[in-house]
Amino acid sequence: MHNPQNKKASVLALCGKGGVGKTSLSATIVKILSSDSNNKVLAIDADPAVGLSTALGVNVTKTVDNIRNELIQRVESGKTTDKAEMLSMLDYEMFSALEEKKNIAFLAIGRPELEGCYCQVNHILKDLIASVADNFDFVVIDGEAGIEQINRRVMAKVSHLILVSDASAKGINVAKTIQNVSKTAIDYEKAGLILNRLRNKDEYEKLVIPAEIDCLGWIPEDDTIRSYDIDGRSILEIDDSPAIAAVENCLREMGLK
Amino acid sequence: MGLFDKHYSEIVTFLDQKKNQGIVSELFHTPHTHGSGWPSEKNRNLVLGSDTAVELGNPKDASTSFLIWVNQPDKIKNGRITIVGPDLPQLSGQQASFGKIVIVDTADFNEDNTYDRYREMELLRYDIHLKGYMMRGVSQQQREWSRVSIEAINNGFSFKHLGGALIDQFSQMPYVRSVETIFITASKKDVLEVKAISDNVTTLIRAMNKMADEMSFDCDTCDYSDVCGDVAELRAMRNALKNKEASAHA
Repeated sequence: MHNPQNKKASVLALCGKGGVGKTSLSATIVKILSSDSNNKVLAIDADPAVGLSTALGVNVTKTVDNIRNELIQRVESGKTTDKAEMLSMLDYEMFSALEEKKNIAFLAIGRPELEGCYCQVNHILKDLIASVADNFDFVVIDGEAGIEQINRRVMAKVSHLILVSDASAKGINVAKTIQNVSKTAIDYEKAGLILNRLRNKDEYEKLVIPAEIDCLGWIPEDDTIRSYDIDGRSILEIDDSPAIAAVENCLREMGLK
Repeated sequence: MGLFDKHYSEIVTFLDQKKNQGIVSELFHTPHTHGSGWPSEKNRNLVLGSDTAVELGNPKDASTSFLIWVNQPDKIKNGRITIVGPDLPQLSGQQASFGKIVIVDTADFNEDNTYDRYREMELLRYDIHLKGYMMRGVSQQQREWSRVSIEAINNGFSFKHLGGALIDQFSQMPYVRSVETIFITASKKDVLEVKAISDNVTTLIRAMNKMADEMSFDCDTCDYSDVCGDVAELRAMRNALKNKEASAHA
């Protein structure tokens, strides 16, 4: 492994209003970080729609929620085992849910089908995700709008919280709210805003960004990414584009490049 | 007769057949003194596909891994590592079906301590953290899925190290007198042959688990009453548990 034992993985969580392009941006970040073959990158799709798999060209066969539901059904039907055995079984299942592509591994969280309070199961699964994540240099989480769901179902700690918005005031307001909520909802080291799908620099300069938000940069609307998105093709196949270059700059701003 | 004497005989017969085919090799490891001779890596033990030289027992392939114990010192050659098929360096670049058997010679097992000791031994494999070796196991299915990294293979990792680490781990148990390990990589057919033995072992283990977990002694409704009927050691364990429960309620 490239990452030495004493170095923690950088965990990037992308959050923002629905429809601002979090998934394409997550896939682009995965592409950039994995372009150095020494880097091991874990992509986690925490959006129940599982769109990141398409953007990365990955076929999902099992999600963390499949594992969770199987376990709950097992417990409810009385087929319980002791904790150590259950952990080893979950670890096996978690590893079998990892889809791999060269130096990228992909894990889909899925959609919880069984309602109810299964806090203990969620804790165990979160611990397992954290122990898997520990083996990577970078973890990129494509989240839902809010940060609470990441805290509850994926990881309790992220190192880099990336807020994503388009040019709309609503999108920027949601980003501001997420940053405010995040201060109490999750442990993070750095936070920054990426403005996605902007028409040009003029549009960027006219935007009013709240003072408490650190803006990392803006990404131009990109026809190549848009057409790959429409066709359901993997962003990993794109050689280069203005948007990819702009995302690289944002990662540099965060000290990730 | 011991709990697994029949299965032990079946394993010996299997090995004799494979020896006749000329596909068996043996190594010896001295427990305690030498160590496995391989550095450990505690936490970051994930081996990704792109770093993998050998993949064993992938869920798409055949896999079996089990443990049996016997109480006859003359049967077990302490430290013996038997390999049926190619060793890890010869498997480099391949994905193979995989079988692993650990056989231990134990002392002072009785109806009161057998289950707890089994649980203790069953979990020992998860305490093996060898650099470049990743293992995921699921006891209920007696499966084991492992990967060995390219770096580990290039540095000479082989079953000598894995078997040695397992033998050292089991040797630490005060009730273990001797240990040997068997690895099967020859073919899917060979692994499935061993899996047939493993399935019978699993039935006995499940009967033990059920007794310990449920504390239900209604033999008329139990799925494992046939097994208990055939195996005296299980009957003795059931009776010991039943007596324990009766005295607790007295």
